[in-house]
Amino acid sequence: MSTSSGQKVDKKNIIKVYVGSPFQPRIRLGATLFKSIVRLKGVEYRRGQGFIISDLSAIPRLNTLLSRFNVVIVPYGRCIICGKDVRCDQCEYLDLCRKDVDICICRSCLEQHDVWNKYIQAQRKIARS
Amino acid sequence: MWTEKYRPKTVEEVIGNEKAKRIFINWVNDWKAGKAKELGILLVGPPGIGKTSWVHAFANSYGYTLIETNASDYRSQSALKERLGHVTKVSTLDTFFYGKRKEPLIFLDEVDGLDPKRDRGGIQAVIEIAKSSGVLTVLAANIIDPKQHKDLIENFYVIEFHPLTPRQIELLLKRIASEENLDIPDSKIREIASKAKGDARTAINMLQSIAVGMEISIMEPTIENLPFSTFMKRLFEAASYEEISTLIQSNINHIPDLIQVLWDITMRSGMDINFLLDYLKELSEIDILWRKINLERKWGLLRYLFVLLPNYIYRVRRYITYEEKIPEYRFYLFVKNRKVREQRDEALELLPRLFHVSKRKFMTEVLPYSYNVILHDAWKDFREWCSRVYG
Repeated sequence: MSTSSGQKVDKKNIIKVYVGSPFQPRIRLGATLFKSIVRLKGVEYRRGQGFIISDLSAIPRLNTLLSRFNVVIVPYGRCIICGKDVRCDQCEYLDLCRKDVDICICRSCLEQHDVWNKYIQAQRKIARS
Repeated sequence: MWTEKYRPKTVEEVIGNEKAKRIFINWVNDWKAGKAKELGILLVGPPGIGKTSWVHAFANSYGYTLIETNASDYRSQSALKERLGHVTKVSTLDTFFYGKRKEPLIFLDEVDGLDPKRDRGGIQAVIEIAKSSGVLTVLAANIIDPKQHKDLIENFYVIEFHPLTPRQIELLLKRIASEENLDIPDSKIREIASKAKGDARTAINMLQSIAVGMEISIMEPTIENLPFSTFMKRLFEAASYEEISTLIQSNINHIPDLIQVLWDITMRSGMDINFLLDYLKELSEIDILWRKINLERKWGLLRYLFVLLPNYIYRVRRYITYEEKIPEYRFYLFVKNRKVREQRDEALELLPRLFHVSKRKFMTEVLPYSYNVILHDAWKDFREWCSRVYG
């Protein structure tokens, strides 16, 4: 699996991150590194839950800090139509998009002929739940 | 207009801002159950992202009768009360027309246009109407100033609306293209989605323009609410008088700063004294007119200002170029460095009092000429900043 920067990383070293949802890096960070991460803009730590990213622009800096552990943080959103994961770093609009998006539309749904009707159906489903 | 034709009719048709929409519905449920502490909802977000559409769609889907008013048309306490003061839970005529009673929903758009000082009692009137009517009240604003609109923030539940993502815009455009039977290549749709900057209204307008044969390259995205520096740059680069006029009319909030900057650059222009006198006479008339409009609330006079001001800029820019040099009085707004900002605030807390002058006088009449002497080493960054600005 490769990241947006073209770097090849083993699948098990990739950490999936959703904006606003907590994640655990599964590595022992140490006090200094932990403090550096928490100080990053757009990253916070909640005891018992883990790190929460509220701004995707923090990810390159976070990846630089974690590079010595050979892990890579990869941001994902969720497709509102099919519910599948959407990889943000491979999106064609990466530089133009907001940095706090958690819900998106995946390319395969967007390419479908009746995408609008599917979107309405998905919205109805959400409203009912 | 396609923006009206494709305005969402039900809540499902509103694209984006999923979280905000969920919070909105939950708050209304709480409000109905008497659990909500606030008087109503205040939607905040840039133009063209679906605030108004959401309220329309919500009223339609959940069976409310929408009573909509634009706060910039009814600004004073008396005007607002006259327009909305009579609205109560049982005041709509739906029982007669439709056989069932629909509750009213008061929607006040552009409340950021209400100035607590100039539009006396306007904000208070909004709060009183929401309190006394017992009707679901929703306000919308582009930008909310925590100081100026403190009362609104305290009394209303603030929900932020964000610009749409380019893919959401793409979805919207694909829907319109398919319903209008347009044969527009995906690359064009992606180009619009990229250029719209999350503004659905701009995107739809761009699509409609393409449908009639215009090129995207000559279309400019939204010109409302531009940052001041962009606004100035665009004014001086505008291709025509009409463009200058449109820019000014779409950014009225920048007029006081614009007049100040025009004064500043005219004075620095090095024009012949007779020329300068003519220009200053014209500018003073514009300035007096603007102040009259504000003091006496005579909005009808704006039509003269919208001719005089673009005309002045159109003529003066032949002789002067706009440098992004910051006029002294604006330096408050332009400091981006936190360290400099902190040092500036510290200095401004202490020094004007020592010099027995107001902060404004200190900034414009003392600091530009003596920053090197009066700012000691503790305010080094601020001193360096002053030297860059004042030269």
